Amino acid sequence: MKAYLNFEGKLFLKNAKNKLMFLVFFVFLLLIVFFIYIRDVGNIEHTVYREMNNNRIAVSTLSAGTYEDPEQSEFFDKLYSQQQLVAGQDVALRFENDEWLTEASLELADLQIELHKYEQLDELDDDLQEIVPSMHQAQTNRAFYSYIEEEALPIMENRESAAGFLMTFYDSFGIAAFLFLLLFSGSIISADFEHQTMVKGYPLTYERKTASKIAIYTVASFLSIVVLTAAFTGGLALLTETGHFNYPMVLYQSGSYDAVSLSAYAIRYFLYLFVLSLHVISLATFLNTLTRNMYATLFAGLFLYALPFFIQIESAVWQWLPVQFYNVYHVLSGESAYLTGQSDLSYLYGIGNLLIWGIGFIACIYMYQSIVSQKNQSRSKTAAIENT
Amino acid sequence: MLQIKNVSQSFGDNVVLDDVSIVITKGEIIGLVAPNGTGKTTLLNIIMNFLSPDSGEVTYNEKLDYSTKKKEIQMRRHLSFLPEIDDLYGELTGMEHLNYYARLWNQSTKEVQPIVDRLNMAHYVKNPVKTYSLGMRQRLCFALLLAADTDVMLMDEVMNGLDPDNVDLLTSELIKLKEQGKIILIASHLLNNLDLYADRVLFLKDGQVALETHNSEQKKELYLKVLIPEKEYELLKTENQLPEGARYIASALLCLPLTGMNSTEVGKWTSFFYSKGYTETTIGKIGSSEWYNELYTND
Amino acid sequence: MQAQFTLEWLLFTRNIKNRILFILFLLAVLYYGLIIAPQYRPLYSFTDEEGLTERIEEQQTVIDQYGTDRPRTTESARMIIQFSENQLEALEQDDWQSYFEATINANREIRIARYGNAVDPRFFDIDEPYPEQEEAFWTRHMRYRYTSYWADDFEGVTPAVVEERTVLQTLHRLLQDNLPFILLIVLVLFSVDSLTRNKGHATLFNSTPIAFGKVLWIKTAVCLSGFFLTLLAGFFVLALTLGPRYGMGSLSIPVLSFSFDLRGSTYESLSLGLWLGQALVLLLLSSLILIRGILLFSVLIKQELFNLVIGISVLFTESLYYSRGIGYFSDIGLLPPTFFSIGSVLSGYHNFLYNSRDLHFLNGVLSLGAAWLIIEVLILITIQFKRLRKV
Repeated sequence: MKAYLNFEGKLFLKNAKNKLMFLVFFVFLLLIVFFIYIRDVGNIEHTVYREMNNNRIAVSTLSAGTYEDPEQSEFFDKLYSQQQLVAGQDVALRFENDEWLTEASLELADLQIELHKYEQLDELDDDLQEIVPSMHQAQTNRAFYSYIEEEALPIMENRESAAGFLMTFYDSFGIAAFLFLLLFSGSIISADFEHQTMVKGYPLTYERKTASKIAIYTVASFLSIVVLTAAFTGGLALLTETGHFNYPMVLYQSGSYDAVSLSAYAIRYFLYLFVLSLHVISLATFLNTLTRNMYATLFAGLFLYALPFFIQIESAVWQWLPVQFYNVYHVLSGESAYLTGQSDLSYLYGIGNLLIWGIGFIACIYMYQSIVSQKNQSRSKTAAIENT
Repeated sequence: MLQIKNVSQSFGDNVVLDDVSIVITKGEIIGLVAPNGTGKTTLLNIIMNFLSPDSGEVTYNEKLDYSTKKKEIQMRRHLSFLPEIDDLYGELTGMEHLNYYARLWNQSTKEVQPIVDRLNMAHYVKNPVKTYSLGMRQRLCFALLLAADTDVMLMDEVMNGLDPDNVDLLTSELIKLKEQGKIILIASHLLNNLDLYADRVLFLKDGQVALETHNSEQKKELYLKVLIPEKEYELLKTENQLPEGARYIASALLCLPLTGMNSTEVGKWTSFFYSKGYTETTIGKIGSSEWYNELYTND
Repeated sequence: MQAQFTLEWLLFTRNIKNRILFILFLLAVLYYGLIIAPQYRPLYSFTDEEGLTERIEEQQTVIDQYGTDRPRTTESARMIIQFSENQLEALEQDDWQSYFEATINANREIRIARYGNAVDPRFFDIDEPYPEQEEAFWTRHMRYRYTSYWADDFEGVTPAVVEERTVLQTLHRLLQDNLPFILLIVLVLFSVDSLTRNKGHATLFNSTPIAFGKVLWIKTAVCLSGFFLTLLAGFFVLALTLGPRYGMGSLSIPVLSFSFDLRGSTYESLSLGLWLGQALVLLLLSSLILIRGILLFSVLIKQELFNLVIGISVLFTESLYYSRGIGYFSDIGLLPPTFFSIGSVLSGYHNFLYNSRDLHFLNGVLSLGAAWLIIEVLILITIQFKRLRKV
């Protein structure tokens, strides 16, 4: 078993495709740096300015309608207050007054939470409703700025630092993690078909061989991601600024939003990522066993991943399926819970769900293989009998 | 005429071919014999230009060579190479492979069905290649060369995986190809089989052609062959006058040329060896397997 | 050559990946035609006689309600009634010119009545930084489009044509949206293993008596043929699902192309047939760039996954340099990835986004053509090296 693990490990490292995936991830991280430093992603001055402009337009559009009902005019007043608070944020940024910004942001978050209690919000045009961020976003903002206030932290105006890079990474890799892991393991079983005469003859059970492959791919792909991310973060800390690693990231857990430091968030993020790696690789192994083709595995995996985009309904069934847990960032931030209307779709629940489904896939692989080998055995027995 | 001129090839410190020159004329089958890893396949790859030699060149009809891309393609029109069985496309049928080769070289598939019939492939050739056994694939690879019908054919271990019936079948096809004037170069380890159709057999050793045997010559030269251990041979040599041209091969086989001996003398020698207890006595030519033992086993 | 084409075609069509892709593509078109297309809500709907009558009654109610209290509101309502009656009359007489003139006026009045100087909320989006400009663009677009229906002597006006629901107009709309990227992703997936699949068949591939460069062209021809046959099949499915409901449309339907000149912005009218022809040319050039580029990487790197990642990433390279209005200051918009947004370029929307007048068909041909030529030169150089000509 040890020899086989060793062998599979060497195969993994020498596989040109895996080296390429490593390079692809490297380029992905490089692109994040590009978007931060050249395209100014995460610059809150730009974000706030755009929000302010949108608020102005929305309010002027709404005021073109008539609000004679006192309740409607109350709602309109609240929206107007929102516009003022956003403008306040903009001014605070220009004056580089973090305290003022934090105060205005907290007040804004509370106001936005209150706005969701008004029926008039649902009666607005779909596009105009977006002017009030979702309850999820408002609560996230409140948790975020509360932490900033408590810890008296300076506001990070842009992400041009190691800490900023890490924040951007959490968000952007959230959506890409599943795809990377799927690409890594798309031919985990089918690659052996070219070496059948060797592989079939190993003195190891199929279960052990499969378990070894899954273990190696999980550990190797996870480590590649962690090592490269750490290297980039460290590199940026040396070349530019370190930033504040106690800057808050908001974590969702069963209905509540709590902010934790970047470093504490990292532990949870990468733990979740490890479990996701195990799950995706088990899924890929299962699909690859059934389809025996890398592209069929990729298409099937992509279909599962894209399912929530096509079927955007709030239903309790999502908490039992793993598909809503594939975006790491969405799960940890609570966006998955918000989109599906299931408050249970959180970090710990996600880990449990992914683990159970992962084990389920592995069990299915073993069962499938056992059925196939039983069929082959009875076929050879029949052939042997016919030949005699 | 296919000429291999002063070809040398090394892989690192290992000199695999050292200034090898061979000329092959129309209607000749040349056997290439050597232990594994000593240059047979390398030579074939160089002739096909799959590998560029460190020095030397390969020419065809003194006009074509691999000096330019255009000439390379022209060369390919005259040379074909036995494909490796793993290189066949599993999702295509044997017939599709054959039609492809036939059209590629000859723009016509009218010879394909006769080839299929001659090689007894009709019952499986329309199935996908991935369902074939080793022997079926090997036969298909040979059939591809027949379909290409080029002037020069290079084959590396063509009899690999074939049962005795199919070996006979392919042997008779090779003889027919020779009669058609083809130039065929075969690397093989089935040495007795090689003697049935090869005009010349080249034995490679230390990067060079260590021995070249001619079948036509050999047809004339028959020997009385007897297995005698080396020590006893040394004793026999001192005690008896062996005929001129006698050889002792591979430290085991004494060969007495029958040229110049009448039947009485042949009988006398046979009885002599029998009385000495050497019962492994035969009459025949010195075959490739015997030369192989001579050249390679004592190392 | 024919034998090689036959072999490559067989390998292409027997490939499981390609078969799955073909089926998935057709299923996606079917899904679009049956489910998504009927849900399309045009910015400006065709109002029939019933709708017009209803509108007139509504506006009359407004006049009756406010009387002289709100002179501007009632004056606006009167104008809407007047224009709506003109529309009704024009419909009864089949006078499309009068209908569209009245419709343009009616739409203007209704917009002012509802939103005044504010933005029409349909153009508002939290991520849209310039909703006023968007509204101006599409409103003028509507006016020019309606004008072209009668000014260009087009005779096939139907409600489906006005709402751009016919099969050909649906294609026209989709090409301005994400369809070009979806098609090019399908193409990349088709061609990703075009050369790399020969890796396990070296003795067969390397001994063919055809120049390596020609083999690459044969592979290109096979990929293009497979791709365009797939598109044809998809179009056929689209026609089957939408045609019975909305009609095929006509190649002579006028469509618009936006640009700038010394006097400001212009909308030029051209036939849908010509527009689709131009789209086909740009699609062909984009396809050639991708297929030949993938073949080049296959020769150099010999890794299928690399082809996949690069092939798909190249399609989104525009996001690295795009910035609203940058076309006024820089020619960066002339880079080839800009022209992968085929429909948006041909309709001039890209000119609007970039604030440029250079993003049009001819420059697209030149830019994509130049990129293709560079790839061809690189291929020519690469295949001089014997080691790279082998699989």
